[in-house]
Amino acid sequence: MKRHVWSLVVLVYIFACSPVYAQSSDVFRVQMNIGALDTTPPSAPSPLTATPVAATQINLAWGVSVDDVALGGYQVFRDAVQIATTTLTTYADTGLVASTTYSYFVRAFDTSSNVSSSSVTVATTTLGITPTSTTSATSGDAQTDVTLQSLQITPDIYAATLSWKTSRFAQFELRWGRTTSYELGFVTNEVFKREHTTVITDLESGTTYEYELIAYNKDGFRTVLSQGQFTTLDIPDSVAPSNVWNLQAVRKGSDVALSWNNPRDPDFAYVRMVRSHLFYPIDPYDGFIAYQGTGASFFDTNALSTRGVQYYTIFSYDKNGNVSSGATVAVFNGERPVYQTSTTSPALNLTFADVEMLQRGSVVSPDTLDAGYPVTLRIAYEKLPEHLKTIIITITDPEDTTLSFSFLLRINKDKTYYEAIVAALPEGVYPTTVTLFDYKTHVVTHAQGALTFVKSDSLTPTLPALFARTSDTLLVLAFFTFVLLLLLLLLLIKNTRLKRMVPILASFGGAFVLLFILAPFAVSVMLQQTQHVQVAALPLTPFTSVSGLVFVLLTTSVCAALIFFLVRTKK
Amino acid sequence: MQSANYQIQSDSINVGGGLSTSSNFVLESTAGEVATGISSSTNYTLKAGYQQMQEVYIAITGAQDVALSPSIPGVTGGTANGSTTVRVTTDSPSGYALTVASVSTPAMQKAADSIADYTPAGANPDFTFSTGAADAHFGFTPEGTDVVQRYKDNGVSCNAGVGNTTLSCWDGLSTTPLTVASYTASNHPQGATTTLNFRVGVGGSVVPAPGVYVATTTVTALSL
Repeated sequence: MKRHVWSLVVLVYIFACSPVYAQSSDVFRVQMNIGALDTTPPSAPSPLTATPVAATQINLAWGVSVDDVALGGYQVFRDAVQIATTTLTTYADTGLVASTTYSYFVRAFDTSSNVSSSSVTVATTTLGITPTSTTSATSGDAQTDVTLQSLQITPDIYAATLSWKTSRFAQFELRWGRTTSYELGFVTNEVFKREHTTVITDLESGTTYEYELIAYNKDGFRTVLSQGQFTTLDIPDSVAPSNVWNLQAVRKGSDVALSWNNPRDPDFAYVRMVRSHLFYPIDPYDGFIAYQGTGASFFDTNALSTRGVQYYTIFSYDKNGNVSSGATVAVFNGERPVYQTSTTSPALNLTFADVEMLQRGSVVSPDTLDAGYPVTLRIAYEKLPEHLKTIIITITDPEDTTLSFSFLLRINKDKTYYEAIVAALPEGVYPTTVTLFDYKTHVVTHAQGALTFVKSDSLTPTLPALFARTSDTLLVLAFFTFVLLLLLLLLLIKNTRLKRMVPILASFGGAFVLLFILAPFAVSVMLQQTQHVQVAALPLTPFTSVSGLVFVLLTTSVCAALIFFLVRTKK
Repeated sequence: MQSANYQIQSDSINVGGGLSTSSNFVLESTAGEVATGISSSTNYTLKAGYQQMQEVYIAITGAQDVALSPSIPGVTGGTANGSTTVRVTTDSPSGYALTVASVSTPAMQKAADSIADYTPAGANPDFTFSTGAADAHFGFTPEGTDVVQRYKDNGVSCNAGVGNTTLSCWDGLSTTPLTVASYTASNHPQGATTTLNFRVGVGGSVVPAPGVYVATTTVTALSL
């Protein structure tokens, strides 16, 4: 009895403590028809017609066959030899000889491989060859020229589909390129048709292409049907625009005068200003929409008539609906609220070094930002506390330190960084403060630094250090000095047998310098100049492990052998 | 925010509140965690107050009846295929799991006759749907971005690699729900689709009773 009571208690406990999940269900049927043995063939295709449309092509057409279970398709025969299988009721037989008679019949088959009796046999003769000449759309013979009845071009991101109809059966040739030389490619179709479709692939997005469409009639007359342009679609834009900059708010009695500079992004559409008396609006719907448009100033009447403070955030939108993280400003009608500042919480141990800067997709140093490009400021998700917080970056004008503008850092789509995009700023050193409002601990943390914007052409790279650690550099130098001394020693001694070692040793030293000093140095300098990446040290330093040393010796030996034999062969 | 034992749907700030006005209304907004409770009648349920409750939303849509084609001739055998695509949408921060189950064993039945559930000779699921001369069976394979590891492949075998090769990794339906897809975050509002491919294979030496066989199948999306 006792055992039953305990079992009941456990069951009740398990039931009560089980998590409650939401769920949704649906029911559907999967149906399968197993048929009896199908031994009945379909009906014979009828009627069958054969039409010569060119010297090398005859078009066939026939009526639909009927089967008691499921029709499989049709077999096409030319001169009693099967030439094709199709599920359609038409077939274009190409590659024929001019002025030659061919006979055709068609059979139908079902899914059980039962084959119908043959259709009636029809015979027809391909057209004769007439002298080939070239003409244009404007100068041809009206009886033989092919004319364009309609043309539709549907560009995609990396492709374009062209569909057109011609007045007569015709083959086509389509050529395209960036210029009217149509240098990028061509496609031809040898089947004579009146309705044509072709797809051009491997195009670049957002690019204008020239095309030329040519038709050949059954006699080989060439007609230029159309020449023109099409532009492929742009890649869908999912990149947020830059924030507005130089956002200023000035209290005028109970009114607030706001001004700002709109971003210079080419796809910039408009801004939305959101206002709240509680705190900085963190998204475009977090407060009262005070202004929306393309202007660069707004007078907010009576904003401070009943409130002691108003917080404003301006979000910029691009033409594709992407929204910036927001630029912020606050206006106070009295004293500013005092936040408790603390740096004791380990979760808020934020420094300016935690802020990463990106320009043109690469991480850059805050000391060498390119004045010609927007900069993305971001802080890694894991460096910030999990709970609710607002992060604001404030950039101060270097020429007037009383002016500053602030930006919200918003979490990105991947939830890896809090980030904001700041529009390109003029040259200067901008004092910058990162402020973190932590709602859980009710403290605010500051981290201060500076952003230095310089002109692109003044970004001359500094010579990079070769190795990550000084000890690696010393090791390499010691090795090289040893080889050099050994070489000198061999040159000085009189032993001719040992002197034969000089070229070998010289090759070895040369190979080492080439592989592990000159080449990495050239790569790091090149990276600095082309990518604007400050390469302070080479990532690979293989000198500090046994396998690394073996690698160095092997590659140096191979390279030395090559140098040695090349020099020797030249001599 | 979550731990092994609980999950908070969304946290909030315990400050704020204030008066909003217009010419038509006056609203004194609330702040904090005070909830005023649930009111209900036969027609409505009101969950009033500040963050009174945030229910997890989950929906499964798109499941359609599947007619496998072509019809399989009784004596010569053959293979018939069909598929349906379901979309699961949830705002659960922990994501969802999608299961599939049949209402009977074997799944595909016609009165007293049935077609066996697919049982691979080797590893289960079976990378290739194989039908011997004496086999008549019914299997399925899921495809989609969220398919579970069991149905992923390395191009040769299943439950290995990260690929999701088309029409590979075949399994048999069961009355015990099989998890075919899952995701560990909210996918609202786009949702995610999973295609369930079904196949019947009948060998040349098997003669199933002619007629229409039906497998009634249940798909269930469960929030995590």
